[in-house]
Amino acid sequence: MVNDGFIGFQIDIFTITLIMLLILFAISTILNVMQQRTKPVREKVNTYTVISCVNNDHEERREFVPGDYVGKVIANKSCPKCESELYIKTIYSEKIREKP
Amino acid sequence: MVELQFPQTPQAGTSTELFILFWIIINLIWFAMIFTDLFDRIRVSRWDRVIRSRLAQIEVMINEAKSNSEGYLKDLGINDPANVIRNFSSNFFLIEPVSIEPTDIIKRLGHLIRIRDERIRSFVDSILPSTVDKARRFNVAVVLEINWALNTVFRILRHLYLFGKKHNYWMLLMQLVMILPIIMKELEALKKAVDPFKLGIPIGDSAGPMVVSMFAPRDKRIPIVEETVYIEKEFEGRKIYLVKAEGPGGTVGRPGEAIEKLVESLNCDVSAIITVDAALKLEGEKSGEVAYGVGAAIGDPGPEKISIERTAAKCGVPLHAVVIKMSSEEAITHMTKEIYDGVAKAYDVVKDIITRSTKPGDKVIVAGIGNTVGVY
Ligand SMILES: [Zn+2]
Repeated sequence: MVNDGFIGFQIDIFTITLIMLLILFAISTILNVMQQRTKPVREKVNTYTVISCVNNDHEERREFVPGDYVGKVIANKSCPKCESELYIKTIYSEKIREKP
Repeated sequence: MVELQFPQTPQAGTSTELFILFWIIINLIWFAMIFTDLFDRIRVSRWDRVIRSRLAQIEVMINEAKSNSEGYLKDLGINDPANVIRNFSSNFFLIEPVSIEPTDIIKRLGHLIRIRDERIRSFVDSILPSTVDKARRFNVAVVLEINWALNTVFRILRHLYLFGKKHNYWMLLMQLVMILPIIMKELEALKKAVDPFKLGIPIGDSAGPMVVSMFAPRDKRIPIVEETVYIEKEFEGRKIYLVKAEGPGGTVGRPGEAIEKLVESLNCDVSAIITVDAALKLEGEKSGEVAYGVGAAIGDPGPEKISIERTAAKCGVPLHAVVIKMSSEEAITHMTKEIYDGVAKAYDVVKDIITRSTKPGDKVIVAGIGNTVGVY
């Protein structure tokens, strides 16, 4: 047997095939498990209410409170600039994707 | 260097035996590949595993939506919410009218949808205490319908899976594997839809009613047909009639019937009918984009749309359509800022259409189509 002096062990083609198959099997199993484990990305939703003056000279944004709806007149508050009625102009949400 | 020792060399006795074994196995595999369906079976069993895990995920999703809804119903004073949802989920179905005889089909379908809506309303009324307001009653109905939809889709998927397995219908299993990720995304969106309806927050589909509401945020709403209102308003010398579902509860109302009645009461003296609705965007398009076209922008099963078209055709009124584009998920979940920007843009487009295509003194109908949850 010829040995050129670098690595002193012999290996035959069946062993190589066997090792290769084992490695491939391990990889496919890991991939399978990983695929099943991918959890859906959690989403956090922040909802805001935009309050506006009927004369359009004032606008403010605050967190949504249950009971708010677009077009609702704010009962116990009036415009800091012109003392007119305030109403809810819009409600929109911001979706923030969170990685678990 | 690794030295390869090939079995042909005479000194490797064990290797020669191994080689023969190897060779036999390779040939067996080839034989199995060509003359048996062993590999198909292996593939099918892998699909089977994938489908089962996905169905389990869907079941988890349904249970999340259900427990979320149960909490809501409990807060509204229902004693046994789990039972209520179960009853509703398994007992409401609509048998579509005969379609091989098309005479009257729209009328029959409209009739059935109406009866169904009434049944749902009376069911909701029967379970809720009388202290709960109208808006919340509408929302409860939608929450129940979401649970019904999730359950129905799950039952159909489970049926297809079990049917495919029972009859060794591989094609069906393969199709399920392919389509399940898409269906799951839709169901995930449906699950998320419970939250906005619980709290009364506008969803993407509320874009149409929101545009109408911008014309008259606080004006008095006059009921015209069931769950639908209209508002009379002056706009740059024109008289505009705003039609929308009755807010701020979650309902779509009957805009088609309302427009028909309104045009009739105005003796066809209408210069334009403008419908504003949310529309599904194509993949690659931006959410909140506004498009303008001709026709009735409304996505109902048929009866409402046809009555808008018939009314417009009968009276020769131009039909304008303004749509705000969004994905199917955005349409049923919380309205995002991009879509709200689209709403503001659509409001300008509608104003532009009114000023450009009508004269002062004309009468114009603007209908905001869609679910009016969270919009008065
Ligand atoms: Zn002010």
